[in-house]
Amino acid sequence: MFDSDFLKQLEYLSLLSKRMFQGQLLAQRRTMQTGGGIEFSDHREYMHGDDLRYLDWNVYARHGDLLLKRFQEEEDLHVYLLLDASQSMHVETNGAVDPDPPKFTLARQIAAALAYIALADLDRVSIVAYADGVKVVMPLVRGKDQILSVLRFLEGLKCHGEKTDLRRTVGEFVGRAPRTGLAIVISDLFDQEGFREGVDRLRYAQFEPHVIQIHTRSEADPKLLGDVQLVDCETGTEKKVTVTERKLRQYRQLFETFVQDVETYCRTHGLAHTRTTTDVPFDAVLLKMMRAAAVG
Amino acid sequence: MSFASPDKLFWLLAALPIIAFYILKTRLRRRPVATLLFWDQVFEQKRQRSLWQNLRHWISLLLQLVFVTLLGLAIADPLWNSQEDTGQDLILVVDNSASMRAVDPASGKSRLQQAIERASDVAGTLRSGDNIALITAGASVRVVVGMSDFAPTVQEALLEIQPTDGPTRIGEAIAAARRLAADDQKRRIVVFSDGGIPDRDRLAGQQSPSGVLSDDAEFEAATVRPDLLSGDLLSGDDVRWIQVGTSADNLAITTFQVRRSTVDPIGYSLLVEVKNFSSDPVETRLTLQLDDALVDVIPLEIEAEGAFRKQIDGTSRAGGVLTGKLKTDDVLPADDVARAILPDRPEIPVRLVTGDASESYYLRRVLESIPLVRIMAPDSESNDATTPLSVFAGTVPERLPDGPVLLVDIPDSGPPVGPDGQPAWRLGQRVEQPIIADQDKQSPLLRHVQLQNVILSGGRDLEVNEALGAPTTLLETAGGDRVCVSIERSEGRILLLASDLDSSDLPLRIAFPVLMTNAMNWFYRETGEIRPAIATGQTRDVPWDVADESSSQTAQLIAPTGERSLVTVDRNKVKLGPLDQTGVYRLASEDDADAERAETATPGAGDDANLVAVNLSNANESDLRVPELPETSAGELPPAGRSPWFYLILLAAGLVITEWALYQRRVVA
Repeated sequence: MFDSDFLKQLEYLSLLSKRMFQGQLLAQRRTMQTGGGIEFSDHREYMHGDDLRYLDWNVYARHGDLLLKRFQEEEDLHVYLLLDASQSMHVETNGAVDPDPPKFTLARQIAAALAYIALADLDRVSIVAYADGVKVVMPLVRGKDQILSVLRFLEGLKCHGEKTDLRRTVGEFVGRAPRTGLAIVISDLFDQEGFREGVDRLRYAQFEPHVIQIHTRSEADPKLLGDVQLVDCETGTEKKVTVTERKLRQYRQLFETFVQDVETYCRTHGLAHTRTTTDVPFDAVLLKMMRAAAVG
Repeated sequence: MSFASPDKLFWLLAALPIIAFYILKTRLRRRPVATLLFWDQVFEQKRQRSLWQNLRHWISLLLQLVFVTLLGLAIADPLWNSQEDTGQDLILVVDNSASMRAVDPASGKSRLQQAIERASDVAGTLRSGDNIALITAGASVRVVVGMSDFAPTVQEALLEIQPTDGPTRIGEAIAAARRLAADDQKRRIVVFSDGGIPDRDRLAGQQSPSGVLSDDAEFEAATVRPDLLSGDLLSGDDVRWIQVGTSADNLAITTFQVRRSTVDPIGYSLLVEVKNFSSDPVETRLTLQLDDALVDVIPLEIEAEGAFRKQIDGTSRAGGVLTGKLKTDDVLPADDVARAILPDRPEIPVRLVTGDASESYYLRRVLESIPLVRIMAPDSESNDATTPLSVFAGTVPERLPDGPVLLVDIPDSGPPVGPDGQPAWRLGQRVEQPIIADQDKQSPLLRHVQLQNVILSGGRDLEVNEALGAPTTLLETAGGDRVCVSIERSEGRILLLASDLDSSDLPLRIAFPVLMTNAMNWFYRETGEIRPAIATGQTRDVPWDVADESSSQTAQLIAPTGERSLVTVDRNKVKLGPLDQTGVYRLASEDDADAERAETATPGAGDDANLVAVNLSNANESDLRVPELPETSAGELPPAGRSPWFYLILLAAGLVITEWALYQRRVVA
């Protein structure tokens, strides 16, 4: 999955992101803290005990005021990739030919790309695989040389779990995360308990959520007709139905409503949202995200 | 119900794979999906109909099994109960008589059209091994299609059947059908008629005893004489009547005949009868026309079931077609018009030449007493179109003139004739008591004339030269002396009477003017009678004096539609009939290709002499009330139209459509 071509594409995307955002992406964001950075922020009154090295002598020479120069402190960003590893991300077709590539593959590719870009920008990256709770966690890593360990981690991930529960996952995740940061949720959002509560908790915990929604084309527009037995791949629930054209029309309508609800929710709360299908290459998804960020 | 091919029922085994496939089909396709979130919402409202969904599959299987069963049964070719006897001989008898022309106001179709449609349906039920024939029973019985196993031929022939104006001949048609199919067991006669047969009440009342038809004597008697046909022969185990048409009121001219007036030489008497075949009284008008000239308009008030009958006298020297028309708009126009031929009565110019010895007083007086005879001066020229009759009494011309010639009290020898100049006749020795012993009873000259045992004073034997023409001896004495001879000559007929009228008592006898009147008609080839109008379907010898009496030849009969047919003329009588159309027919000599020339070729004969009026004149045909048909023990007919397999296939197709709809409802709806 992560071959040399993939790595070249990651490098290309990393360069592209630097050129497009000129250091505005991820780790090169400034924190609101002032401190020992090199970029001037503002002045304040000198107080006893302050380091005289930061006294603004030019102002004192012109105006006789003792003002201390303050600098914005640069610190590396924490990027948390919350990767949905529930069974719904990889539907077993029982040997039947599945026209759509698995969502989990694309999700891991996107996660890898984002991790690479973050590591290249000297940010810290952590990957959390979840289903009905946090399943596997890759601790925060930093530095571009960690990309291989990231890829190995992603490659070793398997889908499991009987259901998807982002709320519970976030609950566990917030308790573990050492610092707030960018929380990128990569999922199909087919969350039995509702994904909104999970994202709300991220926001409440001062994380900056970013939602990447992945689904297959057949999920948006299923090609089923006649008598079929539908099996929920997570819960194993079976449902015998007779699918007619009218039912399909209703299904498509419901799915479209679901997608629009997600978009509306994200837009309402100022969250970045990217929706893609599995037939779209991961680099195209990344480019789409970058363009959206640039416009925003 | 039985099957023509029960061995093919093994096709029903095709149901087994269907059941097998159905069982396989019930194992539904398993489709893993990422989530049932949306599917649950889609099918949430329909959960209560799951019972119907399950049932629908069973119904679908049931429909498929019924479909296969129907197809299997259709292949086995099931038979109606009435079809179980294989190899039947089906004979369709279609009545195309005049009453079948009546148009049913409700359907707008004539009875014949309805009969043809129903007959075509019955012909469509023909199965392998069956034979079928078609007979029409109109003016004449005609076997249109003989025994055949190919129903389409009969169906095509049915469409070609034309209505006639003739009477119903169902009885003869059934007899012909029985001759056509001799096997009583296989024979099945289906009669399509309105029941307008003679003696219809008897038909309605009689039952059908079996065994009647096996009596060959009665069968043959009925075949030879259709009028003897009893109701028994119209029914029977092998005959099934299919009645067409509904009862309708009708007004008809049932009699329209003309004869010469007994008192007026140029007068005529018309006997007309108009019948009202209705339960309501009717008022109408009868219009009489002679050619285009209006003769009379008679207002009629006829009671219900009543008749108007009247003799109408009239005079007309000019002949023509006398037409009677009823002012009515009933459903059968053929009997609303009737025609009769009225020959014209031209004057007969007679050039009387008497000898010096006698003025022939009696002869002149007798000639003058004959109506329409006009005595001309001996040397006067005739301006008439009719060649004058030359009468020579006690004298003889040097050369016999053209045209008819009557020679009375003739001299010893006639004028020279022929290439050798021999006298036309020679008289024998005087006879003392010339008693007439023999007379030609067949000759029209001696009609109503009785001269046997009469002494014909001055009678002598006449020896006629063959060069003059073909002689016929009319009167002969006991001694074998031919005293009166008629001669057929191409230039005109000749009558020789070797008797002295002045000394004989012949002129004082009633027979003499009768003989002279007959002679006038014979000379001009007229019978003096009016040719009666004949009814359709009748066979009749009609007098037509066109040639030598002894000769037999053919002539052409031209129908009102222009169709020509050959008729036989024997002893000056034409055998006509049965004719199937009303109207005025025309006789034309066979030798003349042109009918117009043929009409004028006969001397003294006008147009009217060659015409024959044909009327329906059949109260039975004009009565359009449909009788009640007899109960019959004949087997039921197959339902009209198709064999059972056709309906099975139709049903199977319906099931396929139903199953398709169910499927579409399941998949597309």
